[in-house]
Amino acid sequence: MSNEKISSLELISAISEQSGTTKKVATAFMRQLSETVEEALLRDGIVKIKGFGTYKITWNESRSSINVNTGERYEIAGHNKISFTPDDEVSDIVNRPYAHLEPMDLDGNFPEKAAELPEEDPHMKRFSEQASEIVNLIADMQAFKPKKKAKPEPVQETQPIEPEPEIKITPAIEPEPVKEEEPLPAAATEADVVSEPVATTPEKIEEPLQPTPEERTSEPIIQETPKQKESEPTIPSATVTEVIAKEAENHREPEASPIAAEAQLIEQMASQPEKRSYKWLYISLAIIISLSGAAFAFYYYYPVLFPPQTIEKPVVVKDVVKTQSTVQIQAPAKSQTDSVEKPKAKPEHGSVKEKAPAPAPAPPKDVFETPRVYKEFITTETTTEGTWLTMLSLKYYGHKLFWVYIYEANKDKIHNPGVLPPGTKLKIPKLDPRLIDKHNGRCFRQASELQTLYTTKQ
Amino acid sequence: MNNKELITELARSLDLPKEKISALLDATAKAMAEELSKGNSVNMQGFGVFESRRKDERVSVNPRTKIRTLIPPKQVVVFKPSNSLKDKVKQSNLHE
Repeated sequence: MSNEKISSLELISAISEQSGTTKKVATAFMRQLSETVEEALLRDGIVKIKGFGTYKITWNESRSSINVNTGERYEIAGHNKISFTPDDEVSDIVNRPYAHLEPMDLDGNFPEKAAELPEEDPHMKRFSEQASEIVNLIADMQAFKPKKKAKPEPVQETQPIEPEPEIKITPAIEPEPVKEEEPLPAAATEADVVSEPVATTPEKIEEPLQPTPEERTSEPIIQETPKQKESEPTIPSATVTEVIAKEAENHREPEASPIAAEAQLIEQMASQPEKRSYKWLYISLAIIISLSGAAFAFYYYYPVLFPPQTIEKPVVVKDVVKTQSTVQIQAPAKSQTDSVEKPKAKPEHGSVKEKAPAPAPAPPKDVFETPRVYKEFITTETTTEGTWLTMLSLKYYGHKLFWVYIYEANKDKIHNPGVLPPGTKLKIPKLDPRLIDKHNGRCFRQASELQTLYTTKQ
Repeated sequence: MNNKELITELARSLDLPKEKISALLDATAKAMAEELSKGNSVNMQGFGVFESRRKDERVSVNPRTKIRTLIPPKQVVVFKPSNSLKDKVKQSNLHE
């Protein structure tokens, strides 16, 4: 930038050249112009010149000041002052070298950087919370198991009108007295057992439906046995248990015995729904996990849309694998369904997870860190007066900030990014869409870093 | 005085067609802007000097949101009126 003083003479020659008039006319015009402006300014207080600017007389209020040398206070009398505001046209031309610069939100910039991490942290947290929830659930379920086994007994204990002390210990004998005294409570207990899973897994409506047919099929069997028992009630009730115990012993060896069979049946009934309920629990848990995984993936990938931010991905993947494996250890049945369902829900995520977590972060790194090579070009633009890299960037990439890449691709032709000699042929490079994603703060940071690099260099 | 009035006035005093005046005015503005964009200052004898000055980048803080914003540097045009013009303006009784 030169800092010459252009005199009126030089200006006049330039004007006469541009407007195609003689210097004489131009000189007269210049003199008349300044005179007229001066006159008009003093008369009206404002003169507007289109395409150049506005002169205005403003009043400066009197104010007190201090003489720097003597320290004396003195009053600056109110006075008029000329203020000149250049037109946008002129100020734009003059401001060309800095036209591409935009105000930068400093505080907004840091949070953007910081936001990237916290943004992921909540996800991580959410996921780990979910994981711990799942672990808790599994732990609860495991804690439930013994309880459930014990449950049928207490239920039977309370329901029979005349409970017997032996009931608690031996489940084989236990159902028998119940049946002897009242065949119906047995069915009731069964119903209890069946209904229990409904309480534990309220999500599954199918569950109560499936066991019920079994109940129905088993009921006839139970009803059959009472027929045999009908003969037994004749024996005094005190000895009933002994007799039954004997009978049970006798009948147990031949497996066809109805009582033993019934006992077995009840045991099966007690255990089968339990097993089924666990199975259902596992399956539902698997669904929950896969859903949460999908939700997590959605949350995690939604703002990114493509991988550049997945440098932290391996961590996430590990976490996912970890929770998966823990779940697998605790519930192998679930993991099967898990593995079946997950790929369906989010195939890309699953494939990355299963195959290789390591190579995944490599390509996104490349986008920003590898030196850009411009081989493919969208088009070439011939610059005219008023062509700006920022404008070209806005035209081709959708944002002004990405002008740096055009500059990079045309470094050999552009001396100063702020000064584009008209007639320069610029190649507009084809850029990796990940590099110019308007939704990715990283792209902007990268571009603004480059921008400061190139603008301070000149 | 607006642009139209200025052109009329100049045309009258210079005895030139308005179109000519308009063209000359445009040329003047363009020539000045050109010189100023090169970093030169333009002196109009007896009237004042037009200069191009760089305003350094600065950090401004929005008092309401407390967001700090880095304002990029910019090149601006300033006009320094000549002493004679300054005095004339000072003595003018436009105020009051």
